Amino acid sequence: MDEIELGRTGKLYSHTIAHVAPQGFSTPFFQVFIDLPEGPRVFALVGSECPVEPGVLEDGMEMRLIVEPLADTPERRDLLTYKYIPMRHGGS
Amino acid sequence: MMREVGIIGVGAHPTGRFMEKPLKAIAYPAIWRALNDAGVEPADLQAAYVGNSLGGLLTGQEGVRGQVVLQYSGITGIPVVNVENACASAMTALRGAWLEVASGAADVALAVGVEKMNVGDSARTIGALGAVSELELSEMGMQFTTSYAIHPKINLKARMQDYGWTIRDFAKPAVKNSSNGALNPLAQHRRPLTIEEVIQSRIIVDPLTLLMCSSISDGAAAAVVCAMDVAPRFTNKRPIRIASCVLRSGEYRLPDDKRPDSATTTAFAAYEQAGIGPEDLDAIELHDAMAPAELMLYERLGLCSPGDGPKLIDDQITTLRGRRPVNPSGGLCSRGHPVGATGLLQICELVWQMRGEALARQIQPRPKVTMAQNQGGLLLGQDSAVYATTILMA
Repeated sequence: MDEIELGRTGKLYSHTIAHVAPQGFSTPFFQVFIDLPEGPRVFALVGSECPVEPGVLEDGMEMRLIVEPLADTPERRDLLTYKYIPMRHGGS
Repeated sequence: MMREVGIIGVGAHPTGRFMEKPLKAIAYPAIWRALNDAGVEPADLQAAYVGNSLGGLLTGQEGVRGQVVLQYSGITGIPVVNVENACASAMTALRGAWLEVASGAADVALAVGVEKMNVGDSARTIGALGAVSELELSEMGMQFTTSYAIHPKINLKARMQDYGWTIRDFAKPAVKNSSNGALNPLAQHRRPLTIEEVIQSRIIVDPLTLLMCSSISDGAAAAVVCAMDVAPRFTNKRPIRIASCVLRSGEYRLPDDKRPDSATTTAFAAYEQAGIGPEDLDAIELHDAMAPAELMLYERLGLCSPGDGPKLIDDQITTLRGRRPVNPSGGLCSRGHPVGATGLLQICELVWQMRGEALARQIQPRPKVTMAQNQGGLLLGQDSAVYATTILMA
């Protein structure tokens, strides 16, 4: 087994908008899979600055990693997690 | 040398919402129907395996659920093994009972699957369902509906691109299975659906709508397994032989992994052990937790070529009066999916069909070779956690 350091970019493999969620998430929200250049494909959420609407995400688009609260709810606001947003979205 | 093992009795509790009943009261009728069907007394049992997935989180009975359930049914003293294997808990329990008898450790063993999901708080139930996935997924709000929509193991959304499947195609298994479930007195949802209704029901996780999803459900099922040569001591009915019962776990896969899917490898291991191929099957119960998954499972189980799933319904091959009926019980969406009971509910249905006891939904001619396919849980790395497949022969 080798340890590999993961970078901050990836490519959107698949995405959907979920309209139901376990306690502690507000709906609707994006759920996605990201292909990392290092090999793995990971499940992820999308940064809150990205509007949750059809057509905003497109499979194959370049994404970059951000860190933010898991969800904007009292239960999850203090939990930080990795999320992805489109590369062209927001600053560098 | 393994002994030949048959199922000599089955029983089920209806599937639905039974708020007033604790786990053990849901299991009791299923267990006693199976014992009576087999002509077996509790004193004849030499081992029992009890499948349940969510009882710890949802009822607070974290340990010894099997012993609690069985004592309430008057079964005590014998070895009891508690089985948690997500939505495949019941078929894993069947495998345990089968191995007890096949190995010669016991002549008669009991397999039970029971689940109580209605606890008056559906968000809590959805949370508990999430917890049968690896924690990093469930903590981020990943759910099974999402997994069927975009998870690489099945990715129905991608099938709209590469196979040209439409939302109407996705609705077809739900419609077919609802008409089967309408004929099943044990089923949770007994109203036949139309394509339009399924498509127009609200979106849960795009592109899956409410009526394409299995719902929250309570239920139980049980089977008595017995050595073939011992069976005549208890019953005049011909045992239904367990030709194979295969259990596998998911594999970590990178995106460029070209190995066959785990549902496929599990089914083909079951075919090989039973000495048959998919073309020999007369009836199938499969794991349509989201109805359109049935279309993918057709190809994964070797029933059609890639992309041809909807044709099996269009050409009426997998309908109740077709050549190879699939989910005659109504499947997970209509019959119901009390997760830790589902594998044995599938087995009950096949045994009834093979004996000619399936009432208005009886397949003609009576099926002689059948298969039940059950799976559950999610792991990091693009695969379900558990795959189980059983082949029965009359």
